[in-house]
Amino acid sequence: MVLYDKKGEIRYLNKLTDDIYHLGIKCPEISKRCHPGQFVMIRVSENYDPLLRRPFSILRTISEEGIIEIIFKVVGKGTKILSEKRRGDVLDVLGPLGRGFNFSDRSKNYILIGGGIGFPPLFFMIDFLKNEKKDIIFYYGAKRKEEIFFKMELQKICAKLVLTTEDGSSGEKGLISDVFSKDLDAGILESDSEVFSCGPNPMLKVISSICERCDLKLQVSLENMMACGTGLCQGCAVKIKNSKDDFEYKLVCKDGPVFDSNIILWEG
Amino acid sequence: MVDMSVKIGNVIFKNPVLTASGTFGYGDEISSLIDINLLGGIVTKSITYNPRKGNPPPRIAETTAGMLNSIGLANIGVKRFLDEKIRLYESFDARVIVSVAGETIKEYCKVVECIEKKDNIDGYEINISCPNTDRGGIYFGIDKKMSGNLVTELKKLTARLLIVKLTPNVTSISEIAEAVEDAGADCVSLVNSFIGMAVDVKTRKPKIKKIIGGLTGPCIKPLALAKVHEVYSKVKIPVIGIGGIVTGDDALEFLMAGASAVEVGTASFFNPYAPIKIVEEIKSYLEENNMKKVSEVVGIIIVS
Repeated sequence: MVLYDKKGEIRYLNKLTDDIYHLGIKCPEISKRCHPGQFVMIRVSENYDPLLRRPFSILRTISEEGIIEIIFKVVGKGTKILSEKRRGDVLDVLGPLGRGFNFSDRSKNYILIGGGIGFPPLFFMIDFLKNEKKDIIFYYGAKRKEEIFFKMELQKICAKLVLTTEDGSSGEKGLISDVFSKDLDAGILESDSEVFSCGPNPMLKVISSICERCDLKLQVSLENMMACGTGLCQGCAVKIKNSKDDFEYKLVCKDGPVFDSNIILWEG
Repeated sequence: MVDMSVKIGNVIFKNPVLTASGTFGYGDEISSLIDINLLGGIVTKSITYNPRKGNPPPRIAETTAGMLNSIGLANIGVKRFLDEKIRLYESFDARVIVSVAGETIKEYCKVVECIEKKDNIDGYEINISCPNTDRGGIYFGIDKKMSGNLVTELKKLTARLLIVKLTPNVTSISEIAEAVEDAGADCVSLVNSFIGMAVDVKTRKPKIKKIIGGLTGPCIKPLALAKVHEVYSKVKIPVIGIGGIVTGDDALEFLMAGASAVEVGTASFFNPYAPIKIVEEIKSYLEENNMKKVSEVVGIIIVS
């Protein structure tokens, strides 16, 4: 796997809500080679606090301009510093990292389920497949209306867009996993579908059990604390079933972040 | 032209910069990104006799200017290491030191015996200092008698360079260093991580699943430096300095305090080029100060 550690210039940094930002970085080598589901590690400061790079999944690439885009929410020191950057500032960007989604079975219908700020890899996937004339059904859940992004684009590309918000300010009120489950039970969805999902772990765990119940193949993109993103530190372990009723640890950064959900031993 | 090479035991390293065990995998993870042959050497992940799954997550947490880890010596075991990894080192121009860990003297010996049958390895770093396992590791490193006995047994099995990696989590690190020197170690490397802890006040949970972990990164550099200087003044064998090295100046501090070489660890996580940059920066310093050999800088701190 070819990896690049490049200085990426910030081309735009747009504030989408109080604490969510849309960032475009010029990084031609990485932009050219990204696959949906992959991520980059960004160093937000030359100082030692915060010390480590932060992982960000890729929202999409604009390869003719050499740009990669990410969406991030301010959750700590690193993302706070990133949110205060300006156009023209330069960041260390390492990527493309990890194993992205596998689209080898194109005969199936694709159902995508995104929760909150975890949706970017799915957006990248939709963008990536836009010329394939594939009917994609996208379930998109967020806390509130303001945290649903790219609704127009999604409506245009997806065969069907189902929205939910926790406060009911857009789409159905409730959790996206409940609506997905209900639609399955009602027989609205094709049984010959493959499901792709990203979002918080508790959501993925629920989606996973729904898909298992309905015998649907599911790929999930996991998030985890990482120090390096390349497999050096072994910090981002996730429990995986193996034969003989035993388990092993795989690394989210290198073996994932996309996994077939049926091999994951969900905890918590 | 500055002579950057250093001789430790029977091994000549082309320069004094190595990667630290557990921070550079088996050497193949980022080989597409950096040219390993620009380094003096690499120290592999610690290898045990049987594969180890490692500790449950969360295994890492960021702290101020550092990080905690509790990986628990996750590794593929010596058999797979020999089957899958050792051939990589054939093409390496950098020296390859295999880190060896175990729960008993017998296990350490079995690992070394297996690796002895193979070429392409320049030496061993005996890890008696991992703070993240329930048995072995640090339980040797805090006991001078056990440390000495282990080294005595290992010396019978190999003529290769034998480095012993020490833990700073002891009352007197130089006592342990002297014990392994007396038992025949060729070199000591220090420090392994300091035992540390962090708590998430929102959830009230320790940030590491096993509660404690090993603290590394720039925050430990002054602590590590003091240990290196202490050991340097007590033993005759060479010392390798480890602890929070990110820049050439950091490395020079260790060399000046008595280290013959350094290992770069956590820095590789956030800057994969750090070890190579450190080689260049040490070289520039020596050139600017009209020094011919890197050994000239070892132990030259001026104490007036």
